[in-house]
Amino acid sequence: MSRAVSRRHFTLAAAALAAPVVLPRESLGNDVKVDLVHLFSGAEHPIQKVIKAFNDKGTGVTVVSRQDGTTYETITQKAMASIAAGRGPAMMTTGWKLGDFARKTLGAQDFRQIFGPDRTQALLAKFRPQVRPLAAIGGVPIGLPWSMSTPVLYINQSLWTEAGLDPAATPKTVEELYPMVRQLQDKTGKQGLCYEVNEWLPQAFIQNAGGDVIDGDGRPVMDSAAAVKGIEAFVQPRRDNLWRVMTIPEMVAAYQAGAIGVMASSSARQSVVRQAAKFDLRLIQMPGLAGLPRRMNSGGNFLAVYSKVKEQQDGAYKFMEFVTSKEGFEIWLETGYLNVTTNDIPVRPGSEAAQAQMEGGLTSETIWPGARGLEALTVHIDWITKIVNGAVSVPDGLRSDRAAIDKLIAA
Amino acid sequence: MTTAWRGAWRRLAGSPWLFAGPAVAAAILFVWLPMASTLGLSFFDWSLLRQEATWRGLDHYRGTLANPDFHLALVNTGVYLAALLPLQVGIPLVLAFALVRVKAKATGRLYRTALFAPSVLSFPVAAVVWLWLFNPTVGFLNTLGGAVGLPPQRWLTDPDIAIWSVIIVAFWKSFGLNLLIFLAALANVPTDVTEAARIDGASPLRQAIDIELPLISPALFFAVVTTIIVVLDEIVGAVDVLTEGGPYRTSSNLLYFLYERGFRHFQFGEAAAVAVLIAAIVAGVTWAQFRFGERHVHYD
Amino acid sequence: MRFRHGSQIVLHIAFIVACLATLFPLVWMLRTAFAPPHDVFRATMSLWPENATLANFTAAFRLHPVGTWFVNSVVVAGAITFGKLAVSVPAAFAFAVMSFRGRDAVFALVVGTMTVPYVITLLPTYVAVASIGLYDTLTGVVVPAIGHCGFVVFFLRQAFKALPRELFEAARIDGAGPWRQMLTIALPNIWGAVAAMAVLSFLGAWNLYLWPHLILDSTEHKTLSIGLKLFATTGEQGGDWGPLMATALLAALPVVLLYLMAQRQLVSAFATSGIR
Repeated sequence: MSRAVSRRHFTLAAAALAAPVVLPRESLGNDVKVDLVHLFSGAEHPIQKVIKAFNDKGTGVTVVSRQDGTTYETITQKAMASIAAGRGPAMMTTGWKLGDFARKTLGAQDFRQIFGPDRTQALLAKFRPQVRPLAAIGGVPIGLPWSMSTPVLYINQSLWTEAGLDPAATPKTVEELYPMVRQLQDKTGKQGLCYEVNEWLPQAFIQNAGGDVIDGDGRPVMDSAAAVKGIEAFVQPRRDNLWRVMTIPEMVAAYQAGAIGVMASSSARQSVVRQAAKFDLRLIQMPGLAGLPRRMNSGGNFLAVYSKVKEQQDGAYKFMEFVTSKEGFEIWLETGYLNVTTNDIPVRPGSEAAQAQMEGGLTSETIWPGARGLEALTVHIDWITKIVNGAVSVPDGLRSDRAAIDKLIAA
Repeated sequence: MTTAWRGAWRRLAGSPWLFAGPAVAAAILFVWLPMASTLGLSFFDWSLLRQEATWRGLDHYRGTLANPDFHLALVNTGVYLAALLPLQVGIPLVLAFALVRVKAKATGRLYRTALFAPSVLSFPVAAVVWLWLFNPTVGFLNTLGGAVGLPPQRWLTDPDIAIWSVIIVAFWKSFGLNLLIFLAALANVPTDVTEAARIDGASPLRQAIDIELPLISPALFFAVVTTIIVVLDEIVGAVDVLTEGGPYRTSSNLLYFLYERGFRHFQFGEAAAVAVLIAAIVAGVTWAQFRFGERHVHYD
Repeated sequence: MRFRHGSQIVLHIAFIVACLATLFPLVWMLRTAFAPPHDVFRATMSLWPENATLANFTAAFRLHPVGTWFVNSVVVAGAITFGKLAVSVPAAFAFAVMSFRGRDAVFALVVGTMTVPYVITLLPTYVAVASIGLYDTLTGVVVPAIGHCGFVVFFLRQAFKALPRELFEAARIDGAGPWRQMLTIALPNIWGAVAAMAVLSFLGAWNLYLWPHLILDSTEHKTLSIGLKLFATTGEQGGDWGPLMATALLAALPVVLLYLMAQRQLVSAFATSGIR
């Protein structure tokens, strides 16, 4: 080995390595820093606007935005690790479905204890009466119910009319919807339909068929005859080759690119979808099942406080006051979430279907009970995915699902 | 300073323990001690949030061995090994034999550099590059397939395909390393040996199999060892970026299973038992390799 | 001559095809990184965008703290490399040329770490790092990684051992202590081996995934490898492929340069490490 060459190269490499640049930390003055962990991507997302509008007010509190993932499961898993290491988030957008887990395992703070009963009362009074109970998990108010969404259909109106379908048609049941999707797919050659594969949209099908995922006593019942009927209706388009299964990010990207005719997803995805879609977009209510009463579910997240530091808790309160004000909530509604406050804000264009669906009455999202609720949720999603991919029959899959969840809830 | 002091100082400064001490301390502190703790941890339930431990005896071992997800991870690890060992040893071997027969040496070095290029990337970088190629709607692979009339594939979400997509990425990212190892070994094969064979009229194929292959058997052995390490360990970076072990764990492997148990669901006791089981499997495989190596690898 | 002219041509054709297939994903990454946004999604197979632009790089820096990730990666890889060498060089020297009681046992203790799969150390190390407040810090990533230096010690010991004994005898007579012997006499003679280990450690540390993934939490504390995962999984807009490929390119660039610079050392390191 030539020594001269190696030495020169070594020195070069060493020089490159030995330049650890110490970055100047962003100075925030004497403000109390309150970090907010969330799952909304993009620099233009309304959450960034709300935070910026609040910070610009100069209240002595600076909220720091921190996106840790795109699902409630991921950000909660990460929060758990950081809480264990004593560096937990001050605030986190906690999924409704993980409410019980947040209280029992993550230690979400009781508003009455950290804010006092009066301030808690004042904060929650900003919400519509039917929403207020959602903020209390097991009777304990642990979150600001600021984000409520519901599944809706996103229709690519350009493809829809190109296929010769009635531009104003609003199928009320999936039995009406599926033939229309067939026509769209046959006429345009694009994929007709895409459902998101998670636990939330299937919940709507189970409930519309008269079943439940978890009953009122916290027992898993997703293998009832009604639930099986609901999931059969859910996977039918996959069997009929109307729906090619993909992940949610893949689905959103494909839909934005105009490769899918109809997509069922959360109304809260509206701002993201609209941003890049270059076709006419129409949102309609999620169809139910023929001959059965509609029982659509809501979903979303509440803003919970995890900080044990008094200054941060008070800072969180100031932010929450701003969010629930008319000014703050107007910005927040750009996401596509529903107006759950008593603030008089006109319904945003595109949000009519979701708002109407809410006024028709929504159930809450399934709350996964117990200290291992998060794990139960991921196991459930796994089984739904297996069923959707046809790896197991619907009744068998739901039965195994229930058996696995039973064990985790008992643990 | 008095001479006595100076002497003591010199003895201390020149003590071998001052040289070896830090490395020994690091080895104990960061490898041997944690290893023992993992073993201990596997008999407990350990709550990270509450820092409480409860004795569970062999429960975690029983539970893990009975867990269908563990079985799946074990089978998948077998699939990864069964697919990647022949690919990652065989193809670079053929390439190496062919490359030493290229007469234009400068061009040969160019080929070597090109073929090795992906190997310097990390698994997550390689995975991100392929994530884009695999994209079902706008990715290159389906665009290419569409151009020749193939239906679009769900490379990463089809349970029958996902594991093979990860295998393709792993192969692309790491075959170059083995190629380099083989080339280095072939360069050390004495020319008079191959020369003699050629004069005897041996065909290039016979020459490669009968003469060169036995001479580079230590390199072959080393390549097998590194490939196994890649499959058991580093591939996790590709799995996590490409599929997160999905759909429904069909592309997961043992290490990813451990990651899920330990760091997604924070069942530390259970994850420790999984770690011990993985280490036992690795030890078993290594032992088998060395037994095999003793008999069939020729060191000169 | 068994390999005649014709077979050489076949050989070249085969290699050109193999090289193009191998390089293609990298070319496609480059293409996407420099393509203007509207060109990224065009169903195209042309290898180079018409109006190449740096817009994706600026977009990447706007979407995520890519610059900070880059610096973090350099700091982590640099510190691990430096730490491993600082610990290994004296140890290897002691094991190679000094004799002391218990030497062989301690040597086995250090080099034996090579046989320990690091998964088995993961959980307790994580708990330890978290409980002493190093969670989400670069120090928490670097320090435990230095412990896995068995191979470096082994390799450098071989290099020291290959030096002639007389070299040290002469120095000792001149009154040089062991540190001077190591620094001024032994080390300059094994620069090649040290450089090989430096490059190897740097590449290994630059490519670390699972460990930093577990320890680093805040966005601005991530390294490029794990930042890429965040980048790849947080873009729902579907328009981030250009910036993502630009970031991937930034993550690949230093190691590619290092490889081109130190190709010879690497080849010899691989060769000797495997064939002892």
